[in-house]
Amino acid sequence: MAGGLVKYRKLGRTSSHRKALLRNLVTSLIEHESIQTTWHKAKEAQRMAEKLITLGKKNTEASKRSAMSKLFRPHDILPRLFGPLAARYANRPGGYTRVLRIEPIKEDQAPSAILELVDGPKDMRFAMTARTIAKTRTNEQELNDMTRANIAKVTRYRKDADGELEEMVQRFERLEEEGDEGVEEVRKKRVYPKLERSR
Amino acid sequence: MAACHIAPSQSFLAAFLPVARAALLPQLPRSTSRSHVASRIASLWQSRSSLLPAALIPIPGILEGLWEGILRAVPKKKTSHMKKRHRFMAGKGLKDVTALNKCSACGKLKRAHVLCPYCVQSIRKWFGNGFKTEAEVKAQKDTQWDEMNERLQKAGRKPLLKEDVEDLAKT
Repeated sequence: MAGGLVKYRKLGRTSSHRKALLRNLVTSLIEHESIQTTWHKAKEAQRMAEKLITLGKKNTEASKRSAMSKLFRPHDILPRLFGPLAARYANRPGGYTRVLRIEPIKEDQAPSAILELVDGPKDMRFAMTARTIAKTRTNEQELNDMTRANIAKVTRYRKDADGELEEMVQRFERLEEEGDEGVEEVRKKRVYPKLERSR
Repeated sequence: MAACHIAPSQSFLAAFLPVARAALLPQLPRSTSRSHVASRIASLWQSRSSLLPAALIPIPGILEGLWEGILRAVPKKKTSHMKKRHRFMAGKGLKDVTALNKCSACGKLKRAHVLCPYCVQSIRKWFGNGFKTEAEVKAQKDTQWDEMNERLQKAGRKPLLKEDVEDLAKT
């Protein structure tokens, strides 16, 4: 149908390929707490990941079986899903993952994104907020409205949120003192391998 | 004689066969007006796609209209420089990126609604190595090298130099 909405993205793949892709993405997300991929893949994987975390929160035999069928390497990943993650998101009503846009990772300039588990150890928004607070403190400025809003977001359902935020701010302050600015050059990954010229 | 309705014999029919055929089956077209050459051309025309290049097939006047009808779409003149440039420059150029703002964490310029790439890479690196500074990471690596070379010397083997391994890593 011309100009109609689709219920989900096809991602330029057949049904079986798409299923495998999403399962791989979600398995990697639960294992690593934060993954970098294209924005469109991240949005699709976000849907599947949140449904799996809901199954983890239910914690019944049926939900375990259902989650097992939707993940790769279930023996490694299922204990994480039904253990730490279910505990972490016990009080949060939905929105367990976050998609943050980033500059293209590869030289093909595909719109990229970070898909991360909220309140995790690799929470990028939490770290960026902490770094912003550290910078405003060193410059002796007032906190922005946007920064205040971000602080509210990252501390809302986190256990010992203020303590952890302060700890991270101090880490960034120490790095600033030591003179470590971070990376100086951002290089994009190659798409095709660099081959020696024959001539 | 009751043999009025008996069919004529085979020999009788064979003698008069062409005429009999013409009378019995009038729908057979016999274009006897067609010349030998024209029929040869027609057969060549039908086989043109598979066998002979176009230059070798003679094109009589009857088929010329057909030939022009197939080869009508052709540029009349080379497009002038002005027309060519108008086609390229008709609003199809790359647009400037104006949605830019300052990163709140490092102060560098970044695209709006997109995380600062320097901050993202730095933070991912620090997540990985536990928020160590460059100097601390280097010191850790040096101690690891020294420990490895000590073990190699105790085992009686030659110590590995960092310069040699770095060259290998670059190639």
